[in-house]
Amino acid sequence: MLQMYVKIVPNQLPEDILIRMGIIRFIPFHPYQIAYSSTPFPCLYALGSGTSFNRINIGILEAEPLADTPFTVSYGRCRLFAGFSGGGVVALFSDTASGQIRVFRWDPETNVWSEGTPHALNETSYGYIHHSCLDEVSGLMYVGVQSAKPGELYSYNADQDIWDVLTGEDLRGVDCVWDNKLFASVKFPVNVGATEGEEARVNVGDTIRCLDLPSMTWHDFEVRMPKPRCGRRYYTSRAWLMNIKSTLYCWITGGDNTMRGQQYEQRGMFFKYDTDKKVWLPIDIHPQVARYLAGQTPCYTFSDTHLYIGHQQVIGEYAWRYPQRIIEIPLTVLEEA
Amino acid sequence: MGDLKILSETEKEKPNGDKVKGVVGKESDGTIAVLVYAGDRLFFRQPKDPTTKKPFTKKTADRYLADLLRLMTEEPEPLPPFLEG
Repeated sequence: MLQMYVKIVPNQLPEDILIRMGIIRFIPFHPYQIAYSSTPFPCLYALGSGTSFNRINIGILEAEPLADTPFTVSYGRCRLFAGFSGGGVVALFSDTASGQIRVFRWDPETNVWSEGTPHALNETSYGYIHHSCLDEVSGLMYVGVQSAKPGELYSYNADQDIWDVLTGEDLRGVDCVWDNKLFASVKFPVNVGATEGEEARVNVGDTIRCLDLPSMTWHDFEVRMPKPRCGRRYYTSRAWLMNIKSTLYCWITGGDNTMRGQQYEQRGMFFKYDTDKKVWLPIDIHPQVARYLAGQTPCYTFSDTHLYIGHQQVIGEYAWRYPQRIIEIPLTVLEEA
Repeated sequence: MGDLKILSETEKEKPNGDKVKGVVGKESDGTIAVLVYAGDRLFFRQPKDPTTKKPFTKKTADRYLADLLRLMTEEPEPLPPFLEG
């Protein structure tokens, strides 16, 4: 594995570092959520701290501040989606003070936000919606609410501004739709995010749960979570399932933990699902990238050619030192694994 | 603000000290809309009540604006404990 990195060409920000697996790019803000769009040009829309909303032109690497968001950005309470017809961007915000998930649309023509129909949260909901996903085939957003009891799961049709309520479980959230299944990556033996203390949020079960969309019934997925290198405990919110170009990937963030619960090392892990063998195949990751992938509060998005990963803030030693960076990984690196 | 007839106006301060100005106004076509400005720059416009999908009245627009400004000026929330380290 190559250990050398090369500073790359003018026209790119001086902090950029070229490595075997991709490029580490400097961006002038902390990305809390990012969403790729091909219109009006290949770009990343990003929510930053406070009310900042930016667009990064991937071609020329310019970051452009756009209209302030109508809410204060919070990692646990908002999600950003792009790629809709007309180039619009949709941001969901879980407004627990009013007990609603609120939906805001940004109009690229006017650079102005407006609000769509909100949906009520359960009365006791904590409203953490950071695990939610967009099914690009149906155009539906699936909004899973972590820490809710009973589980809350909604779908939102942005074109028609219509919500639907789906059968929820006690779930951490939903990650992606793959093979007509909506994936919640871990079945928790206890309610996630419960306040009873540390043990309550440690998950020793590692069953992947998925909602079969045609029948609207929950099932165990045929394989369990990929195993960490060391230890056997997962903390909640550390597994992320992704459907990238019809292949299912699993990203384990955060450090592994030893049997005694001590942190082993801070490296993220990537796995690809082999549908024929029904196993997770580990993907060899450059150590420098793996350190960035350890952050427990990541954001990510992908285009037809690249996976982009950013970090909200301070979680993960390496990400903590360098939060204003995103990793750009060519999909070929994942596909060839 | 062009042809907008201002019906009411409220200013609030965000946690970072920036101010936002919310306006309930009647536009040239008679629509009552809620508009929010950062300085002179319009960044939010709501032409109807998002919950009922009905046109605003002055009263419903005022109520919506108050709630919106509450949302816009909230303190940022720290990460929940289970998302930390």
